[in-house]
Amino acid sequence: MLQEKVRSLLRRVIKEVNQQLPQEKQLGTSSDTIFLGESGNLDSLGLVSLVVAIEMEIDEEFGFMLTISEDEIIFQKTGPFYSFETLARYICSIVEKESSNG
Amino acid sequence: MDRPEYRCLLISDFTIQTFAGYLENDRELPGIKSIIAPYDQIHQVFANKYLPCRQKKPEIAVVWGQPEKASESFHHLTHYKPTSIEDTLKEVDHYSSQIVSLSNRVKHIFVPAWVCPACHRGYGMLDMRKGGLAYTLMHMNLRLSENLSKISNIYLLDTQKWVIQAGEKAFSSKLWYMSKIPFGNEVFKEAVQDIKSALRGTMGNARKLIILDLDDTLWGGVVGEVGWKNLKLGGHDPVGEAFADFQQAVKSYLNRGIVLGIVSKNEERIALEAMENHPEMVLKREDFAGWRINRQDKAQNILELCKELNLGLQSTVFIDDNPVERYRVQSALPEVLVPEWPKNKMLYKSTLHRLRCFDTPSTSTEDLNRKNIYSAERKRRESQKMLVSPDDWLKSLEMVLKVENFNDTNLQRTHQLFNKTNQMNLSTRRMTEPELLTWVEENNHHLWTLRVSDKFGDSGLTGIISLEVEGKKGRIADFILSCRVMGRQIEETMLHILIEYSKIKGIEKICAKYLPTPKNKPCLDFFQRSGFHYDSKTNLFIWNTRDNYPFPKHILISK
Repeated sequence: MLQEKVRSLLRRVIKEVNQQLPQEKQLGTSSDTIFLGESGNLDSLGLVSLVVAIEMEIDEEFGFMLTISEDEIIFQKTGPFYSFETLARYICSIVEKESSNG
Repeated sequence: MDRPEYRCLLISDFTIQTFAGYLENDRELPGIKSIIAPYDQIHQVFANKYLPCRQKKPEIAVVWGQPEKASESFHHLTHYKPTSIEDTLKEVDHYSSQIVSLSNRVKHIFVPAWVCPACHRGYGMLDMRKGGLAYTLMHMNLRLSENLSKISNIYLLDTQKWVIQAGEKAFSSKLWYMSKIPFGNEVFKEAVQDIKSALRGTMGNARKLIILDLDDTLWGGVVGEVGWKNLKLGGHDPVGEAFADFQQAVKSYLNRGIVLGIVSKNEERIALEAMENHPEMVLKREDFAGWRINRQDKAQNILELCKELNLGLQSTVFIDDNPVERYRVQSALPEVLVPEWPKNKMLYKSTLHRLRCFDTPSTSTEDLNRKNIYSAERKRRESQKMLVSPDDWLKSLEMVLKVENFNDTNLQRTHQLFNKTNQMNLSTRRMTEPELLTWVEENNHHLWTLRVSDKFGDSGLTGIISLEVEGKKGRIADFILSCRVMGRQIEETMLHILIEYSKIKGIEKICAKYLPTPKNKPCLDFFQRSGFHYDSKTNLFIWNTRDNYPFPKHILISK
């Protein structure tokens, strides 16, 4: 249930962020999309846009403001922003964590 | 299908890539290809025309800076260091002069006005006094506006409106610290809409006609059922007041030069009676250039009304509370703008004011007088119905055509006519004022303007002919006539004037090359029946000046 909600959230966010990116740098929304590394399209500015948009969308969807932008792990090439799948899992884990804390 | 695309240079002192993305990905016309100038190098970009970004020959530019970077004094002020307003304004003058220096290298420059984040309260209750942050910023923007308004192709845009629209998402500290973007995405989206709308205006694509439904659009209730005395309009009733207010708003567009029409499924006599008799009716019969009030299909009625008013569908906005009618018109006439209309009557006025489709790069006396011009046109049509033969009708109009050379006093209107006339336009050259002046300065280029008046009124400056002479050959560079006076033999008179001039100057051949656009078919139709020899392969029309060009008998030429 949560996983599906998060995937749908992520697709919405990517759609919004794609409006800010040149055509050739736009991101896919399928679960096998790679964001970072040699086969990825995401540059540093795109990454920031994605992070900020995810934070805002989590606030809208789940009602709490996360600051994943402060988590240095997100800027690592093999970190949670590596692919659609790793990012979905990362968001699920922090939402679950935040929910259990709250 | 190819869509028109502008190369747009984005000059900014913050990271502008996000804005560039929105600008490029927006689907509305015209398309834009962004050229991003180096980050935070506004002054260098202005100073160095050899920079790669300037070498890409941008057609338009957006210069979006922050006030604290444009003015050091203002920067000090944000840290509560006292500064003099004179010093600040000197810096604004310098900044403005740099923008002006770019104005003859691109067609249009858009400059978002300076704003300060809402979180900076400045001096609080003293902030609007001399020395306050808000006070200084207002003066800076005012000075910027005064400096830039002197140049016709530079437009200062109201950033504050975008900020208000974006609400609390207008500024983002997170985006600033992570990527040096001061604004939230909503501000950029609003900016894109305004810039696109402005560009459409400069391309002559601003809407000129609002066609309105009546029942539950201009007033509450169905007049045919409840009678005009029981309509919801004005009075001590929030909905009635909202309708009266909406009518006031619609009427205000008349003063801006927008033409009004009615298309409504009603009985004409009953509807017009309501307009005449209801004490709180703001819009009166004479405010409308024409109407179709009957039980016929609205799309067909709109088509006929536009034809009668000589206005294209692409110039038209249709406002109707009924989603079924809106859908019908939108599907049948995709060129007509049919805005989504709110169910809540209290939102009618604000929805109208939010429409971006009326933006034009300038306003002329002719625009402001358009209400009278169309009222005269309606009388003309009525007189046409009374006279059986078109010839009798043309004679009865007592038309006078005044030919003037291009000069300072008609520059603004000429420039406007160049950029907004679509139908009777031979080559549809869109030019900025400097481009127009440069063209006319050439010795072998000649440009005349034409004013048309008749017994019903003055239609103002409505025609342009220009000629490019090479030896004994003349080429009609522009043949432009406002749709308001089309079909009254002004077109033939224009050709007569041109041929007569050519004879005097020893020009033996006059040619006119028709450049087709989606909108200028009426021009082709006219030239095809003009008597000029037509080569359909090259779209070239030719007249040998040893032959006289017949002069229409019902027009008087005044010089």
